[in-house]
Amino acid sequence: MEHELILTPTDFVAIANQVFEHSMPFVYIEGELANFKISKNKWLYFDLKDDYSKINCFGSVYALPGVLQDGMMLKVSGQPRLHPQFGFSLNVQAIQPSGEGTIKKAYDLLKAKLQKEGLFEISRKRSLPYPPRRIVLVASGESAGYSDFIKIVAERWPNLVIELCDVQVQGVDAPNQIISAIDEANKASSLADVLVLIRGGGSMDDLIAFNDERLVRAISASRITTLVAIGHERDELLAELAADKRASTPSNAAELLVPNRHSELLVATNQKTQLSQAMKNCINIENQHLSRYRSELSDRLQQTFLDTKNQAINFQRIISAYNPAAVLKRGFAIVRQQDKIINSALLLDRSQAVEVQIDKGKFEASINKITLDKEP
Amino acid sequence: MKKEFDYIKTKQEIEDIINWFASEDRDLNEAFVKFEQAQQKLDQLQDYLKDSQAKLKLIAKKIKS
Repeated sequence: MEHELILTPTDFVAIANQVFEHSMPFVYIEGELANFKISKNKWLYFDLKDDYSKINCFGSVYALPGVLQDGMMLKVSGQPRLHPQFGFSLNVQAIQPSGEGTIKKAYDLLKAKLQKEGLFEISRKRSLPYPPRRIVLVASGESAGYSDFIKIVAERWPNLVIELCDVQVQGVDAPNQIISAIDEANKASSLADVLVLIRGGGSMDDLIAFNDERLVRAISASRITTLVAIGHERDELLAELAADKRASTPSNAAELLVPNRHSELLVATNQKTQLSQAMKNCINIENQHLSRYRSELSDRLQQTFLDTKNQAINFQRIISAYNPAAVLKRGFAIVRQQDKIINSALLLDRSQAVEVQIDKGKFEASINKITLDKEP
Repeated sequence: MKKEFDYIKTKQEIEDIINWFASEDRDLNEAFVKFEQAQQKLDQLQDYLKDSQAKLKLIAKKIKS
């Protein structure tokens, strides 16, 4: 017995944890969920089991990928630890549903929950700035989807500024990396015009990160408008439903995001031609106006001249009517006595001769008798 | 600095003159003066339109090239 190493429980726990840290600091375990509970809205407790074994798991609610129920198959990553009081447990870092049935069930439960909260409402969707000047691209820099996206954008709209956030788009760590990228983009002092999240095709198992509740909420809460394109044909992923705009593939995202400069150029040229024609019409109409003005002015001046001439003729007629010579011609006479015009018999002096002016001459006459008109 | 030609204003002035010709208190002397003024303004408008046409031709040429 003297060579036996006797440890205290505390020493044993410390050594066991050292062994875990050294030999298996991080493990991935896949098993069936049992005894799942959330404590104080903060802590997760559950077991992962198979036919022969059961492992206690402990973690924070922030590791939850969505709604979980006992019986689901999960892939859990974390650190094995021996707790001094509660024994062995796996300190959970990330959780992913696994197996087709479980993935579908988790998807349906989470979709119903988020739908109820209104995260997928059409009224929440914002339109993308078109064309954007600067985007944040969340993608795996080595993926075919990324290459397709970059190639198409470069062909269509080379001036677009693209800031790549190179992340894993598959696996247990993918949701955390994508969420961090979205958070960082939204914290920037100058926000990008659009946040684009892309990934090429894959099975639902590969794409499970895009059904992660935290990721879906991060997309929904993004201040930057979001465009999500995950290349697949089957069910819609929740990340796509929460995005402002969805594209079917990364290539389709590039096409939706920016216009084609060749067709834009053609449109601009056509518009220029139309504008030129419109200006030509405008000038023609103005020229017609000017011709009408000239003709109208000429008519008006002519009319003014005629009116003035007619006025002069009228004046002449009136003046002629007042000419005494015209009166004499009609048989009237002007009688004067001592150079004064006598326009009444009462003014006549019998002792004086009168001068009588008639048409074409005058004569002198003496007055024999004056007969006055009777008073009426 | 050269004052920019105001097409709309000049056109309005011509319309005012045309309306004056329809008024009661016009006289022939003033009519000749106003007619002359309107002719000058019309010439200015026509020159402006000719310039515009020339500019337009240049633009059309640029578009085609």
